[in-house]
Amino acid sequence: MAATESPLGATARFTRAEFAELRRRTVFELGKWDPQYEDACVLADFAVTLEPATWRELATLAERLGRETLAAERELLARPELHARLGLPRALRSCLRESGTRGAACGAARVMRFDFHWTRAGWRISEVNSDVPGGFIEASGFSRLVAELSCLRLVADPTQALVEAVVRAVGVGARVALVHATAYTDDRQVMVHLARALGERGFATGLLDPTQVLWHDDNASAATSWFSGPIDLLLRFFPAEWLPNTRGACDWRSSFVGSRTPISNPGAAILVQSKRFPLVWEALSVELPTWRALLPETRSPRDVDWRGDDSWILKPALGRVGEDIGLRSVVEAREWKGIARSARWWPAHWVAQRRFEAVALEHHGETLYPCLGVYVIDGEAAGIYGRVARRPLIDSRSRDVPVLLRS
Amino acid sequence: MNRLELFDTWAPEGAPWSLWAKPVLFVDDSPVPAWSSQDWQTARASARWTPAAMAETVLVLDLPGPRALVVALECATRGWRPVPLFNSCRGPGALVDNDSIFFGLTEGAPLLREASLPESAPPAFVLDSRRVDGAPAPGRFDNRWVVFPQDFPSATRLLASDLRRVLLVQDGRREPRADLAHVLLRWQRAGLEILALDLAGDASPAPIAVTEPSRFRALGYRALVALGLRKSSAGGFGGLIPTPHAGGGFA
Repeated sequence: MAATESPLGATARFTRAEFAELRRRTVFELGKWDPQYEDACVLADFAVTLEPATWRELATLAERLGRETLAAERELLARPELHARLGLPRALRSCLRESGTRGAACGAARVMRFDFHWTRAGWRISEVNSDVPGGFIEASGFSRLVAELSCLRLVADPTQALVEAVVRAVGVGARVALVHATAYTDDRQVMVHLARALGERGFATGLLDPTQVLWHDDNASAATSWFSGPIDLLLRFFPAEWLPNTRGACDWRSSFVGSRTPISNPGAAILVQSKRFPLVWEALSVELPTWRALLPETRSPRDVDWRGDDSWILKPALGRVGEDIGLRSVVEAREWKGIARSARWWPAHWVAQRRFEAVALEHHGETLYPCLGVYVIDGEAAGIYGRVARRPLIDSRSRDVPVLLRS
Repeated sequence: MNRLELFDTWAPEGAPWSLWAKPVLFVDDSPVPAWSSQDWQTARASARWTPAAMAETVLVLDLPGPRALVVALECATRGWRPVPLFNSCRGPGALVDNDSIFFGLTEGAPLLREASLPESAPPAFVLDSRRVDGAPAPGRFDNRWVVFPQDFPSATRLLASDLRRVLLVQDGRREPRADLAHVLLRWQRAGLEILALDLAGDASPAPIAVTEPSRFRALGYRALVALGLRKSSAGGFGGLIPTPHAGGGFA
């Protein structure tokens, strides 16, 4: 197959009545509380399709990336002299240095998601979400509803894969705390979804904010009216770089170092979540052949002419959901101006990355750019969180699209 | 009436502004505590406000939760479609009382049905002005919330529906709250006229110039707000924002 022949297809659009029913069921049965973003529904009214062989290829690549990522994270934990180059806040760097004496926080049920794009040069990745990847409602529930409607198959179910990973880590019936920013309903909906799935498997679950996790001798517990007692596993959906903001309200450091309570994911995941991770590759002994093959060239903004060369894009080191990504020809001029100014003033917190030419999907007269977020849970490929955008940038305005097997 | 029927009453299929209604309060099937009816009854008994007919006008009702609903139902009798934007959960130890709002949604549903609004009815966006009240404490569920521009239709969408004016209705103030100012300023700059009415004082709506709120269109505004919510909390759940723009603690 020539690289430009996309392995991705699309179903026909659902009828208006079908889509209304899908939207309603996604909200009321699956608990997606944010189906609208300004003037647009964030759920796509069609599915992206691929052949089983394509899924196997993606799964293989993602699993290799997962192994390399964990190996790099282990080495980086032991190499605190590299942490400043990753653009991490000082408080995190200071905390992670303690792993040499206290030991790293215990990790379990490791979840990461690699964002794949089909380009003229084949598959490329734009990033890994190794800290707190979301998308479970869409990749599991919404995709399953659409699969039933379309008579297509789900590639895998990441929610169930995560539940089984928790079973392997702490056994059925254990007590799991789901830690998140409780005031954020779009985060809480993910936690409610996972808590429900864990509950159905026999776990006792509690929804907590980070300040409600108590630490004694490096073991976690809770003492709220709705969840009290020892915690067997922490499922964290609170971004690692936000944890220092809790300051004296809790022992946030235990999420990074010392915790004997297993955490999915431990705070050290931020080491490889940083978009500046490629800037330390040359200093690592671990081999990263899959990363090197799939991630576009990534440099410090100090070292390349991103102002004069549109083939470079800018990314914040700790950006999420495509926020503040600078593609000069794609984002609004005012937005680009702000991004460029920030990258000039604080280059240590940005990266410049070669832009790749994603192959668009033509669908009912629309030009769409798909992104396939492939989950790797406990080392195994576990599903796809699909998104499509009308511009070659995946961000909050993108639509969630099921990615299903054709046969 | 089950949860889905209740949502269909407040956000009927086919009504164009239903797409913006927030479903979160409607999906929770946990029982409502008995005391939650008191705030609703009090709000219903308090002085009401009935808007005069105003063509081409969007309402934004930013009032204490139950009262916002009471006023919204009055507005429905004058032809506006209430669009509930309560984006927060119920739960034990909650900082923001959403139980009384949920009670009001349930009690108000028959009244809304009686209004028999046409699909073309202009929107009255309903907010709870108590959304950022309270301070987190151990054992409390922090369910405070803020609004973002993406929670509303764009100015382009409103203008395309021949809606050229926005009336902000509050109690005890005329200036919009900071989070809402991010929305209203975008609308104002796009050509919509913004009027404000203080139910505690004003006799009639008057135009306002929305002043630019802190971090208007700032990079990472959403994350900043999330942490800002925490920043004001007792116990210091918050503090400096870990972005390059925030300086301290990040070098």
